[in-house]
Amino acid sequence: MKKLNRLIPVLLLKNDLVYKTIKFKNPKYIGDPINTVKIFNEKGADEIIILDTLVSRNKKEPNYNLLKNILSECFMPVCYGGGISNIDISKKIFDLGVEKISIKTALLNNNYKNIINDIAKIYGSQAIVACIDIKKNFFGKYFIISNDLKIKYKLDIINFINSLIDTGVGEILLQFVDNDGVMNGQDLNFIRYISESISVPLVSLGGIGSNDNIKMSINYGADAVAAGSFFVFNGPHNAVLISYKNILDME
Amino acid sequence: MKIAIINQKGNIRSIVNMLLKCGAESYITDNPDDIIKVDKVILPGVGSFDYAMNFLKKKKLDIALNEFVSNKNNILLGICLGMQILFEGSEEGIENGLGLVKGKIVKFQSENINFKIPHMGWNFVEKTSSKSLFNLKNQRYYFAHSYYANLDNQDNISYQTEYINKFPSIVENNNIIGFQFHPEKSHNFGKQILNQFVNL
Repeated sequence: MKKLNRLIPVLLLKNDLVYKTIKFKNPKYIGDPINTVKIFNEKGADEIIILDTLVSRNKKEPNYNLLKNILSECFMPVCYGGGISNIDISKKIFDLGVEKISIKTALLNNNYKNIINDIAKIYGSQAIVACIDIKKNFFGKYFIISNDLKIKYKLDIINFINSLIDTGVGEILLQFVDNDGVMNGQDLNFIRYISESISVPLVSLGGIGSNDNIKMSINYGADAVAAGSFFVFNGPHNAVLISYKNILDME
Repeated sequence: MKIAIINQKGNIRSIVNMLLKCGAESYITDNPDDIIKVDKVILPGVGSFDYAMNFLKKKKLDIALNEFVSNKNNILLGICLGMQILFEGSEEGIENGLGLVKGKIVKFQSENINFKIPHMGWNFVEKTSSKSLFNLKNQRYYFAHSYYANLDNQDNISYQTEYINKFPSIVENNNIIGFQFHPEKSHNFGKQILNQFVNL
């Protein structure tokens, strides 16, 4: 049975503009989100992930109006993350025409099961993505880390992910913070380790720099591969140029 | 002629936009009286079976949709969960479905670690009935579901898709149609099939 693996551009929003970071730092301006998403739509991207990086940190709500404008010309599946702290915010986001919402900060609160339950009951598990940011410590062991890189969580990653899945999460977006923007490939063994331990699709993010990187991550068990820099930079000096081609479809 | 879209949860806005690209006007409603005025109704939906059915019952849309399809010139299209609630029931919940197509919604069972649930992503459709109203070749669509339809009458399956097992991706029972995938999120492939629907 042939499986079509998804290749997903990720856009990071900061103050309503698209940026790209390296290891979550040094944001570089990419462009206007409406135009950027429009280009990915025209290029027939499998799906798109839009992550607003500052909303949760500033304890604000998402910019609904901006999202509405982004989505009006978007005929591909959209996953949005950023500032989703309760069911009311989720409802507003889904009503705009988003398929999936990605939750991160709210998962690391004590009452994380409530929000997953609330969303799953109304919208179904396929609509909830858990974004897990992981970073290696000095001894090379992964831990889950907060958005601002300040809080390290002492959680067993597999147990935590499986508790999210049991509660109703339908997809895992695993982000390798150390690989963010480095464009040198992903941690393949860790992809295999996670993929073999979970029952829902795994999307791996962070580190993609080439078609070979994408193929390897898929071979090691990622259900879909997501990337930022790979789709927005071009050439040795990282000039901004939006491109998209799913090489996985052509084989 | 305008198309009515039932105001279920989900990508309603995307359906309106895609229909506009196909040259069709549509409006979103949860008022049973509005359904009588049109000859095409789209029943969208993401989410859980019981939540969707309870919503339809509360708004008396279940009765309205039954009356709507009793006129054979009218066409009802269910999308994703909207297709699943056309059936009699689901393993996902305890509520009865609309019962417009005979069969039950069942959950995928995967024993292969490479095939995760939900079935999330793009997949092809393969024609299984020559009577289908749709003519699709090498088309692929976006799927996002953990459950699929198990039909009593295999003749009602017009296209099938393979993921873990073969399952119906398009069902047709006379003037009742169901798409398991999301045409409104399937780029030009989705536009083409909605175009065919608009011109039925």
